[in-house]
Amino acid sequence: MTLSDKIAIAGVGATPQGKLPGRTPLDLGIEAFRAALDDAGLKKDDVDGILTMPGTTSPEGSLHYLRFGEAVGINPRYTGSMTMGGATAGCLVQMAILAVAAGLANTVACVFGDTAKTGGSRFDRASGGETSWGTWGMMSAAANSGIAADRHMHLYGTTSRQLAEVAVACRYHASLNPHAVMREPITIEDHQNSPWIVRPLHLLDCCLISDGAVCVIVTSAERARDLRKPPVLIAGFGQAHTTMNLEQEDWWYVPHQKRALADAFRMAGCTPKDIQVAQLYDNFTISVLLWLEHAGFCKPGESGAFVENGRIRLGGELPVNTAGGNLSESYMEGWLHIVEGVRQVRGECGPRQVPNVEHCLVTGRGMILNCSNAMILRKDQR
Amino acid sequence: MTKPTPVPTPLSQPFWQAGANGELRMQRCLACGHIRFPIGPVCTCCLSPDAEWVPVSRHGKVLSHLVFHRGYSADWREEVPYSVVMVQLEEGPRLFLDVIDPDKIYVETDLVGHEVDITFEVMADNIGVPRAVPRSVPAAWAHAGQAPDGDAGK
Repeated sequence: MTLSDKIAIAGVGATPQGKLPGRTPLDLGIEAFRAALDDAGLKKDDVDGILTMPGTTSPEGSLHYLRFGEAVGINPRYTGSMTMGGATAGCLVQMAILAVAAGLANTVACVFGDTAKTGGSRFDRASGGETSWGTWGMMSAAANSGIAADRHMHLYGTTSRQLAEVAVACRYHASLNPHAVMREPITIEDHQNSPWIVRPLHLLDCCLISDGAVCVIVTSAERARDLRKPPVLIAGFGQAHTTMNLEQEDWWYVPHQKRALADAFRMAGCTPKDIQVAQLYDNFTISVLLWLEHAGFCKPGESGAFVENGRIRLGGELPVNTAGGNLSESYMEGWLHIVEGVRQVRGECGPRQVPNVEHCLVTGRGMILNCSNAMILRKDQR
Repeated sequence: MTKPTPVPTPLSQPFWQAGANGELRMQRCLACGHIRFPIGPVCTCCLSPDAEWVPVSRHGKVLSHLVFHRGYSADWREEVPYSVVMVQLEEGPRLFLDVIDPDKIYVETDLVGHEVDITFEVMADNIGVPRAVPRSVPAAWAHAGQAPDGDAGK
């Protein structure tokens, strides 16, 4: 039994993004939920599954699903919350797919809302368990991706200017997206002149911190065909995680991502050549390089050269993060990557639309370098 | 200007005690011989809880070198810019250490591929924290820097 093309994304919704004083993660999440219902042409009582990711400022923590269900007046057949950082969006959608396929729910809303910007959330924690790496000053998400960048540079000769290509491409795409937070175009020199955060990462290698919310509604492809928008089929998906970090020599390369991607491609029955556009999780620029290698768009070590000469910009061979990504659109921890993937497949993206999209690859990565997933969205041919 | 003092747990206390004695000790599984780090309750290879704390090298090779220009806690904010290196021990384990660098020399260099010695700072009774001391001053960090030794290891 394969689930390829059996389940679809029927609706997506997002709030304004950026700095939204006076808002709460809950009310933002509800706004996104309403937008997604409207997008799908569904009523709230059509939704019988609710999966949520608590925002960094959500007071409910892992009980967030209870508060959300209460607030929107739904007694779900299927519900829960998950905290897997930037991998949560993709992993919740995969839970929704499995729930719909198993008949545990007909229509599942996956919701995230956060006020990380106005709430002052910092992504500065140290890992390490019994002996926190904070003892040695090894703290923050930036530091861990800094290791990935530094190792890639030393092993393969990847340069900071090549990382800059990712930041410049994302910003260019954001300049075409009226909903993006950072829309002023930047150059490679701007990237090089931006301050160090944790060498080898500059400020412009780092994602934003944002307020906002996103909702993604999952249902069967059959049911989605009767709704307002053309269904976006989930052709393939996969996930893989590592928890061992330093006990694995190449932990910084996040090699488990290859497994998540291979599973997604296998289920979809396609290869990187079939992908017209990709939304690749970009907490830091280096992450995009690693995804390109793991997905097989280029060989290991060659992603630095791959991103040069506009290849990942609109009009290039493989446009990446066409709404601006976490780096320039808004830091919704990968939720907006799914939204943009859906909109690209539907052909709704106006000046930033990639022509003739049959497949969009969407990836997610969270908990520093630990958790990963991949999903291939396909245009419905019926 | 004080770096943080770790809070020992029953599991980690021997590690900090060894540091106070000028030794780097890690857990070796009595069942299969695997040396594990970070510290954990059971062997990550065979799940045996039985382990002994064995001394390991007080030197290693730098796999990665970060320079923090931003401090993520009050104590480390006072130290910026400072270096953290990922060190490979010949016994297998890897660990992160900060680099002792009072004159801010090493923050301008690239320590990858270089050897560091591991020294210990006694932060409190029975708590010694290992830190890295480079054996030499390497070349300045450059954007496209290849490893000084043509490092082809993973």
